[in-house]
Amino acid sequence: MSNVAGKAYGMNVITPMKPWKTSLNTLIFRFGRLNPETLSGLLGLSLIHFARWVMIRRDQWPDLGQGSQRHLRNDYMLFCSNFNGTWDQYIDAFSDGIPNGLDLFWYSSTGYPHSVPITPFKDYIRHNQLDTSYYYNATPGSAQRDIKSALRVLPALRRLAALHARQSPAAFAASWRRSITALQNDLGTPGDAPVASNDTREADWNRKAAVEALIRERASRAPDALPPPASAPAPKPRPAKTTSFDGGHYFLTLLIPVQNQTLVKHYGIECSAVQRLRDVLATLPTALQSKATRAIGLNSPFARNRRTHLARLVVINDVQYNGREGEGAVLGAIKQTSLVTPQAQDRLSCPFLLFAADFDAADGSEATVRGYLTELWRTMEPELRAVLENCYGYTRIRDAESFCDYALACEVETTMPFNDYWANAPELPNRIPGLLKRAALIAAAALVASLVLVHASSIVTGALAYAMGAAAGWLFHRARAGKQQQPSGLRSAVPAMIVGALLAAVIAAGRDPASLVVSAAVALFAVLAGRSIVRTGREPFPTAPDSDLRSVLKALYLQQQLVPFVIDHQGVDDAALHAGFARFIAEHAPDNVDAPTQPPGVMRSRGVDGDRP
Amino acid sequence: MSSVDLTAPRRGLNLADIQGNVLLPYGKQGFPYARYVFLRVDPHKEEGARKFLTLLLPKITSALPWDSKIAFPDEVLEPRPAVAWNLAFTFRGLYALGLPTTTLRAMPAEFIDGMAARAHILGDRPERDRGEEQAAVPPHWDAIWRHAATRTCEPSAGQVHMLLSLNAGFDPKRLAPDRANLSSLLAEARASLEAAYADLVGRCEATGGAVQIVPGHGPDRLPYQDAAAVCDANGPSKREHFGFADGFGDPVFHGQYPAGVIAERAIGQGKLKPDQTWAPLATGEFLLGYVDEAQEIPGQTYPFEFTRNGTFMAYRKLHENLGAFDRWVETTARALARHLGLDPDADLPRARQTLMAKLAGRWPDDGVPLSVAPTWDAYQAFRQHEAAVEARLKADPDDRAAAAEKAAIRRQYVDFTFADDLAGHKCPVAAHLRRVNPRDALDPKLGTRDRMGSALNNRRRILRRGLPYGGPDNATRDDAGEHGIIFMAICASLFRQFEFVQQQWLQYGLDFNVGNDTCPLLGNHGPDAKIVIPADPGSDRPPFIAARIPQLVEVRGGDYFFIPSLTGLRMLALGIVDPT
Ligand code: HEM
Repeated sequence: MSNVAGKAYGMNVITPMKPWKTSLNTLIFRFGRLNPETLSGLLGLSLIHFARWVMIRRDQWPDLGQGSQRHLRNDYMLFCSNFNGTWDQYIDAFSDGIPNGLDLFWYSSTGYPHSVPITPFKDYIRHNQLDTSYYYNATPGSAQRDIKSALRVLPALRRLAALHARQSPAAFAASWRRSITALQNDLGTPGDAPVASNDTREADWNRKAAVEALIRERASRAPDALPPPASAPAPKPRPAKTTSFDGGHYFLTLLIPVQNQTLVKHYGIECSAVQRLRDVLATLPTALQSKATRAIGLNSPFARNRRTHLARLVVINDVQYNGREGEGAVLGAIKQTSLVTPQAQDRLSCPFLLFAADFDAADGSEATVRGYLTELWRTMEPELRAVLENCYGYTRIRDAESFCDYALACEVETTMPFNDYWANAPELPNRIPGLLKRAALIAAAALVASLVLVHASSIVTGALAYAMGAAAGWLFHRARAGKQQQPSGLRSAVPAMIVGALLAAVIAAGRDPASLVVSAAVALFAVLAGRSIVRTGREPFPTAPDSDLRSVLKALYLQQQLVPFVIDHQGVDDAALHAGFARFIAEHAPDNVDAPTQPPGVMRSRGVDGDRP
Repeated sequence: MSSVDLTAPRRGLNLADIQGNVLLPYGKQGFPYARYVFLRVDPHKEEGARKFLTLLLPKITSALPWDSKIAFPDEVLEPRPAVAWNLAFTFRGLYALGLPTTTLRAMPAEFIDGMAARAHILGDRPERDRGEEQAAVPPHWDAIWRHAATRTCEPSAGQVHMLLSLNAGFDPKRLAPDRANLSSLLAEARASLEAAYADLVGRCEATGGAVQIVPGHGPDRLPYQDAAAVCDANGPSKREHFGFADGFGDPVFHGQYPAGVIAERAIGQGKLKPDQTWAPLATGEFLLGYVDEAQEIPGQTYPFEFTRNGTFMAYRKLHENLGAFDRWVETTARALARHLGLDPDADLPRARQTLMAKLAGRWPDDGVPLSVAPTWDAYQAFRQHEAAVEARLKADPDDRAAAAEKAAIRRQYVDFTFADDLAGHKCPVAAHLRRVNPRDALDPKLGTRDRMGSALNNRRRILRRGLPYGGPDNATRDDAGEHGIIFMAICASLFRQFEFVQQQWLQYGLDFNVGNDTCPLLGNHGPDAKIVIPADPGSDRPPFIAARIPQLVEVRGGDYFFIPSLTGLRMLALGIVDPT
């Protein structure tokens, strides 16, 4: 288990929310994407490679025959972040830097204490955090800022290479000076991260022996077979435009149910599947991201493809309980709530394995996701098997094709993806054209205000009537549905709302027919606005230039070659510079993205562990 | 500063309860000499140790002012001591003195660990190689620390439990206008330091072994660590051994100065608010028991009476490789001279000063900030202006206009921000000064309308105390000699403030966009150590990379200390710390 992979920290936070708030919070996320200004603080901090928020509704937990999770009382919000720096630094930066945005994103989470002051906020995050069981980072020696720097170096070198071909030494030297000045704050050195803590450092070394033992053992072991699942997973409908795809990257989220009915064999010991799973994940080779992992010397199986930026596997043993929910002393007194009778608490019926990966993709289509999954299967089948044999439905996996089916049955759509590999601050399209937005808002507000004033009393009466009608409808519905089953979410409230609306309409129409029209107009406006936000908010952002992993690796490689070149050519004359750069182009081929380059999962292109860079 | 600051405390600090080294640096107040004595308590003679503390209490110097200029209106003025005495404790010291488990276990983790155990975090030792076993204490540390890092809490023999610091000086008012009596005043101060030390030795001997001095400083394993301001022809100077003028930047927090004085002193030294004006930092950043910059009183151990008005301190002995520094600066300055189109021989002094300024962020001779005078010409103009104003004042001490100009110049030494210099062509983004106090440079909304000032920096500030060591007239500028800085950082959370600055800002470069490049002065320097000295984008000259920087500073030991209030000290001495 380690939340740290080189310079990245993998955070997972899962928080409960009342199901009726889920839609509202989704709307906030969609609005955030319409109006990228709300993200400016997050962009300004420049701390995050990839992050995502995933709304998991009660009926969305995959069911591979082990049973559904509809019994839960809450929906859950999963937040996964790949950030740079220590845990405290990150939370501090959030709390000091973008406290308001943060409060909005966690608005609906039960028990969320606000981001200021810091101690309750940190306690809440830590309490709801799931530790990362396995964490892979393709660029462990480079933080997000380092990558953005390298992505400024890459196009500049390509431009210089083009100029070199046609400029005289003197003219080229002038171009060179201009370019290097433009790049002067992008010439950092990649390398090992500062130790996250003594404990992380020691665990990293201590784990080495176990990994080496397991590598030997795994070579000779046949996987245990599991009983077939009770029923085959149903294929899931995919939305036409998935928000799992954004800016040229796919934010894959799988929730795989972990087998919890029989015991399995592990090292000749009988243990539960989840125990074995944890063991497998703890000893799966990571990237060569520290001195200890380089001493093991075996790179991560994810480094066998050049599409995965970051990936993680997290055992979700259960959802977290945040203590008794308060309701206010007065309300409690009226309802005569017994504070000593425990409230119902959510429990998952089995553990889940979260697999989250950020990979390069052309679009969000099923074919693209299958393409990626097939590549994984082709390059790391034994490792995937060692993981998945602990999960429900494993015996359905025979080949790449059935692995894809299996994975897609476990996919949950990412609600809010976030990535920022924009070398230069992007001009993100504001999808609500500014002027139009403001004019429409002002007009609508003025209209509503004046109409509301005119028809105030009727609207109040109408609203009261609506509330009464809704309450009546709700009670009726409850009585009819009986108590066997918890009605789920908004849908169950629809009949009540219809009854309420009818009652309100009748009463209001009797008093003041115009108010009915006004109310209807306002409601229609709200619904249309909400729908257009949701629809437009699903559109992906454009792709940042060179933000695919192959280009990122090439950029990092070139940056590391450039720095010593600049140092060695300080003060040389134009002819020597021109000749030197000719050799530079020949040797490092800025235009060839695939070679020479830095492989995935290493600290830097050269100069690791004391060998001279 | 038009509006009333609603976060300002309504009540002054209880200065009589706070130890004097916390509030202000002694070095700035005319105390050029210091002696740091480390003591060990015999846990089996706890009572004797407490008696030692009881007898020591009247000696401890509080923060009560002796200078009426910075005194609070109804404050008593203390007579200025010839020697200031201050006391601090390691975690194992508190353990040896028998503090309750409930109180001890709620102490911060880094304080419990102690500095040697945090070596990998602080960058005090390299990561081990495959198969290598590392000793518990980093190599090259002075012998006194060899028992520092241990997994057991049991206070072992030779462990450091207390730090008693003695600071000696003279009242600047006694200095004659022609400074003729300077050397006799200095000799007097040295004599009073020796007398104080003799007093301390006597007190320890009287405990019958309950309190002992732990020896082992430097190659001669001395029983104490001496430190002193580096002297030049004018007496004690502001310079450290490399040659940098030091001691300008020092955070200003609520309660440190009376109301009439603090607004002015907070300029450039406090925090930068979103409206771009300066305000004192929250008291809780530097003293326990007060509201801090996160708008809360951070958690701390019980009983509060024991911790309130106390704080934490990191003590570090930082050896300076003067030979390596001189050689590297010489060759690199020549390259820089050529780069700037100067004569590498004739213009060497100018190139050397420019290089040093770019490393530190201030011109070395007098500390003029690069942000105020970014070029050699601007620097010369600044100095000429300053000299002219000084001359006017000398001619007519009542020249009001000149006095105001002098105040304005003095303010310029600290009143600057980096918003207008994001590329660092005035002060490089990786210069020492900009790393340790980035001011507004980290503002995530810097380019936008709603700026946040220094929000991301306000919880990383430290009070610097300490002095150079190695004798005031160190002539042997080699690497092997005993010379460097006794560096002390005081803050409410060593983890959040001192360790963060040390690990993330000095030994790493992420926040400044320089990857793994470390501080050009303080950082660990591998074969590819460098600092980019950015060019003015308007000029045709490219940036200059000062490369292959050798190791300039090495740690020789240190530890983390709790500095209790005088109330806390009394509770310790009486043995009445009770969290029940
Ligand atoms: C041999 C060791 C060191 C040398 C030669 C050195 C040198 C300097 C110099 C020349 C200045 C500028 C003068 C001033 O603004 O007061 C300075 C400021 C400063 N240094 Fe250091 N330093 C050393 C160690 C450290 C360490 C270890 C830290 C922190 C962990 C540190 C933190 C600071 C801070 C906070 C400032 C004030 C910056 C400001 O407020 O603007 N220094 N140092």
